[in-house]
Amino acid sequence: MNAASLSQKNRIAGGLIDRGKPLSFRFDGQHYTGFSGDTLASALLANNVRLVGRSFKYHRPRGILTAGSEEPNALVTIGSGASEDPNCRATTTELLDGLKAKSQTKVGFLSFDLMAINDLLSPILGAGFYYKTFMWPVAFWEKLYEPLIRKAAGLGSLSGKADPDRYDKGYLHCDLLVIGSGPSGLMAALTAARSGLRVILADEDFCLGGRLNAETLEIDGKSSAMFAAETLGVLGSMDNVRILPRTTVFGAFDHGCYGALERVNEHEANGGIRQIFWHVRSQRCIVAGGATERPIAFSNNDRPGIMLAGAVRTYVNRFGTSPGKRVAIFTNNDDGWTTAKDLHAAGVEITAIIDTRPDGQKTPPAGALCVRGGHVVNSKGRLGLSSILIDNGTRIPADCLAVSGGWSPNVHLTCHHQSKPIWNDEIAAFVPGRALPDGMIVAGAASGTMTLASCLKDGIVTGQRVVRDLGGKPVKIKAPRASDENFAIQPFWHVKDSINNAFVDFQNDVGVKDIKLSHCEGFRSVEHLKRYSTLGMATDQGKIANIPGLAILADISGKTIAETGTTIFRPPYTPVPIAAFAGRSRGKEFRPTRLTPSHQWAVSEGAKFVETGIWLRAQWYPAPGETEWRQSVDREVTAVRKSVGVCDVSTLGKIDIQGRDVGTFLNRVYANGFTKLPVGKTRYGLMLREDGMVMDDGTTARLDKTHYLMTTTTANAVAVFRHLEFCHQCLWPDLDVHLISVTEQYAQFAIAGPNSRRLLEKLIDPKEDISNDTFPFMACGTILICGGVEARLFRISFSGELAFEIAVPARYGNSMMRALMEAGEEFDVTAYGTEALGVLRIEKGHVAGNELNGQTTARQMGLGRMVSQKKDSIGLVLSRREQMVRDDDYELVGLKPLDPKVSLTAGAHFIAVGAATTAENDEGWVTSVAYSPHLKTSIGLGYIRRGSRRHGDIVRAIDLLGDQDIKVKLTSQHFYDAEGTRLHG
Amino acid sequence: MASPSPKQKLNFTLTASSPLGRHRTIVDGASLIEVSPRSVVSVSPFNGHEAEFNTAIDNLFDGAYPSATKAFELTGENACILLPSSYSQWFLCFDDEVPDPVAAASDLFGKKTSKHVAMTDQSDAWVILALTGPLVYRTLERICPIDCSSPAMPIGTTARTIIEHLGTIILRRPNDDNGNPCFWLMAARSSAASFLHVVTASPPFTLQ
Amino acid sequence: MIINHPHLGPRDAAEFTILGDADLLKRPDWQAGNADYAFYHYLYLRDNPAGLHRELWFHECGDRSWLIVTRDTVTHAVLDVALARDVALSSKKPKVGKGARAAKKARTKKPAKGCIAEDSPK
Repeated sequence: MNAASLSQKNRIAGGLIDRGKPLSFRFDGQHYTGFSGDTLASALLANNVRLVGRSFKYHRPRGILTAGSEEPNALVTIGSGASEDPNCRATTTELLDGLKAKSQTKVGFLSFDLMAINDLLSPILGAGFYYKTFMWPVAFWEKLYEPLIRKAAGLGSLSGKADPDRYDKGYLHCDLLVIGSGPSGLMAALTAARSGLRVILADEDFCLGGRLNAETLEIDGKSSAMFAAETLGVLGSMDNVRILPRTTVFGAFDHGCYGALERVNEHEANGGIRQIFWHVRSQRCIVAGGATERPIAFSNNDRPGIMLAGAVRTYVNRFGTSPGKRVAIFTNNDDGWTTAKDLHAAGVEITAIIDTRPDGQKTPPAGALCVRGGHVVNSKGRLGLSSILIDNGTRIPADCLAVSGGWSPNVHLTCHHQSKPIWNDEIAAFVPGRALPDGMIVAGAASGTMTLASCLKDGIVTGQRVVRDLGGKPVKIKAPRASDENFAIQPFWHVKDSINNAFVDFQNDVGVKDIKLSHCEGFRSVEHLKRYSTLGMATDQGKIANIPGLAILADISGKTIAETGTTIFRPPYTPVPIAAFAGRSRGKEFRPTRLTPSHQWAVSEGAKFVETGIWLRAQWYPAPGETEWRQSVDREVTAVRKSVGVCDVSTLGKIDIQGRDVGTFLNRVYANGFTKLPVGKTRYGLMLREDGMVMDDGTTARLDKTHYLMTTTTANAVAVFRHLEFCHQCLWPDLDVHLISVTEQYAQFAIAGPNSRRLLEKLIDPKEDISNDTFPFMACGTILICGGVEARLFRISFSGELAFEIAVPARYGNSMMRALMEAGEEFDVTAYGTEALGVLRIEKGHVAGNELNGQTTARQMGLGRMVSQKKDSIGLVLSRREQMVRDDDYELVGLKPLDPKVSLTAGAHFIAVGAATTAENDEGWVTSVAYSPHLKTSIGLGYIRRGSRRHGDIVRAIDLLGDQDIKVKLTSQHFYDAEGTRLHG
Repeated sequence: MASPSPKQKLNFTLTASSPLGRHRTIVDGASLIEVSPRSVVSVSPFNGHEAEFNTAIDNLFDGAYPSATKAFELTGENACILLPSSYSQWFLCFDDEVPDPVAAASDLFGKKTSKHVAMTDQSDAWVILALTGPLVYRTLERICPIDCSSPAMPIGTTARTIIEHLGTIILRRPNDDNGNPCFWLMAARSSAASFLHVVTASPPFTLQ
Repeated sequence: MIINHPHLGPRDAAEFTILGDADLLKRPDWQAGNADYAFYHYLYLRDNPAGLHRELWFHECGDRSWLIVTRDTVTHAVLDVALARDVALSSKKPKVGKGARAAKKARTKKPAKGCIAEDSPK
């Protein structure tokens, strides 16, 4: 039983939370209650939980510092098991019923962290400590120091289990993207929408309205929060407006493209979509992302309870909770006083206001000590603030210190295209530079307009400007009635000569002394300061640290802030999970799968499949009783050579080429000649790359006078087609050539073996004749089969057997396979897969992908004479380069192990017998291997220097990875039917 | 082996199947129905014969000039849609299945013109899915990078783009009887199953 | 990145594949005396400008046209997009081939009467 779960000690009246909807949650095992509309941070503060984590390096106790996505301290792990999500900012985590959160970066308990010893060692753990310490003994680094440091480092930890949530991506288009739903964003969106533009309004919060929800200002006589809600209601009812809450526009990319992450269902997806990565394309963009407050550095300025002043009043005004009972304010500007005013109005005791500016007219609330021209020098209360010390020696009790060092416009997106922001002395902050990304305008506080009435007006004016820009007529909108608060500031970045650590980057534990150390050690540019000290490199990317950091650096170096400049701003604005970028492209959905037209048949036959690129092809068809793949493959190979086999070869590229200049075109893209190819004939074609390497091979059939059909290998189909289009459109656009892919249109089957003709004759229509005289080797033509179905027949052979390839419209794929198997039953027809296909062609000595690896030439393959020297073709000139016509070049050979029981390995390298196994002695490599049932031995193809003249030589084939060293005999690559008698039967 | 004796000579016939077996998925707000197979023919005039080809198009399709972004419809006996597919290349998509699509296309253009037009049968190369309903934009915005909204893609507009790594042709068809938008999505036949999954894994077909 | 296709309007770069420098259009004469050097230069020697660069992009998942994109490699701004075919044709003398001669004839013909102009992209 836990009393804390029943009370919310720090709740006060008011706020936008829904007290009718209580929610229970857990933090570090303890049960608490909050309300709908709370963030985890506001609910924790309501329950007086001030200690929420330990800092990264020194393990100092830390509390909630801010109320937004700039939060550096309150990083927690949400969820459990596989859903565990580390480094969530409690300040932006929407409270949900049953939320489970735990603190991070501690060893032991949050209140007693064993790693806090680091804090005592902080003098030697400053910037770059790992370059100067842990050096000796050298061996200790790898075995002791590095593992220790690695274990101590890191924020939060991953569950190590697969992410169970679903993510998606999407594409949105609009005329205007408005980023931020504060006063200027809302008015800009309203103006543009009413003028007829398609508007997308995005805000990272779940409750839109920006700071209108955090202030007690009045607009048109009502509360700013009410005004925001009403305006959103109007926008939500408009068809041309799309509102994206919980959506961070994290990057401004090229040409009006923006990346946005929508947290649809964070921590409560329950199988639904958790996040969507939106690609937004917009004609114009208004950045109305507001400004972020920054702290002031002084000794021990990081205790739980020390918060940003704007955040303190956000918790009071929006979340109905006071972060403390006795609050002190430390400010260098007028805005800090607003916190005092709001808290006092809400009944919270203000113990003191310390303003660094000596002059000032503002009246402190009754009972508050007012110190002008002073500053806070230290604080007490390790696990939670208890008092502060001022420079005049006074100690003031306070359980919450609201600090305001000024407000920095959120210029990040404006700088994603390398624009540099400009320093503005009046507001002591950077404002957007001049060279913004195309189509981007800035409005409101993000542009340096810091007060309410001017922000509202700015939104309207900017919206109208965009409408005009896009050629529309902007509506006239009366600016809502509001007043401008005061905004005066005198820069005060840090208390000089702080005796204890004065933190600037809270998340990476970088203090003023580290900035001094960086500068002292020569890392003086702002970019070097960042990398050496790690200031600005944590998950918050220095949102509240960068500007104070560079201001302090400027101070130390005697330069102006403008001269010092900022580091480069890069996307993402806040972290984006890798899973969101992946979207649904995970596992099987990573890429599409292409299925052959006979796939269903193959599945029903129990085929074993292999991925060939994105195709799924039958690798072999196990027969009942077969347990080993070799049994199936050996059987299929034997059956083809003995009688007949059928293989689906639909995956090979088929490019239809028509026109009156196709012969000329083919002559230029193929190395061998094609202008004289007669109608009704097919020819092997060798295609080179322009650098003289072999790119692809295939056959081209001439179906009619102006109608050709080219085939390519499966792997290169897309690349060859792209290449042909390049040649046609870019090199020879005047040729009358018309290309289109028909790979998908036809199911194509190889029918190979001595009985292939007999099998086919059972399917062709009565009038058709495919005898050897009528349809000799390399013939092609259309043919009617199975009662009038028009097919294309090609007499080509990859296996070296009498063979045909028949193409039918893909709709008949499964049916055709069944018909072939039925018709072939009397010949013991065997379906064969890619494995057997490979064995057959290796036995025959045909080159394929392994030999055509993009680094080999026609000469090396023994096809040098196919490259015509009498005509221009792609690759001809560069194929004649000196090194590519060497006498001792690699040449294709066959190989057999001396011991027939040994299996060769593809990729093994050739080294002479007796020579040392070194790179210098490497003479070539094995490209393809197979077990030949015909020769009853393992065989292979490979490239070896002067191979064609070394048939009969014995060399070693060495596979260092597989620890193999085999003696092999070099032979001709044509292991089977070298004369080709079976082809011409 | 001797040639088969007369009594062994069996009559084989081939049965056709559609890419997705006439798929239909209907949920609240959207339906996804396989429209393939349709007879589709690619047409591309030979160099120097573009003018007579254009004249033929004009005569067939109510004086419309070939456009890179619009599809044109022919109603009546040879009802078909002409949509641009590439430079100087179009797809003729017939309403019905015809036994010889290339011959039917040749008849449409006339023998004289057809002699100088490169044609290929594309009927089996494409899976065509009709996506209809008031919520189809929710589907499209998850998978399609181009703007499919009404102002950007009025009825009759067509575009080739990439949907989840697959080259796709999108055609905005006339609204259905209830005034709901309808899109035809055409993708390569071999990846039909993957393509179907891409669509049905999107809202409103899959709960979000 | 968006490429403004001359006929189809602005399209996402994901629909394209890039080949490289547009100088690849200027394929040397295989019979020229210095063909060896000319081809070596053509294929391998490239400027790497920080600034304007003419590139060949293939609209693989679109209308399969090759485009010449003039792009600033520093700012990423796309200044011009042209059909590679048009650029190649304008720099060529007529070549042999019945089709080529007929094509040249056709290009000088006016379009048939009653036609409306082709849609221009937004």
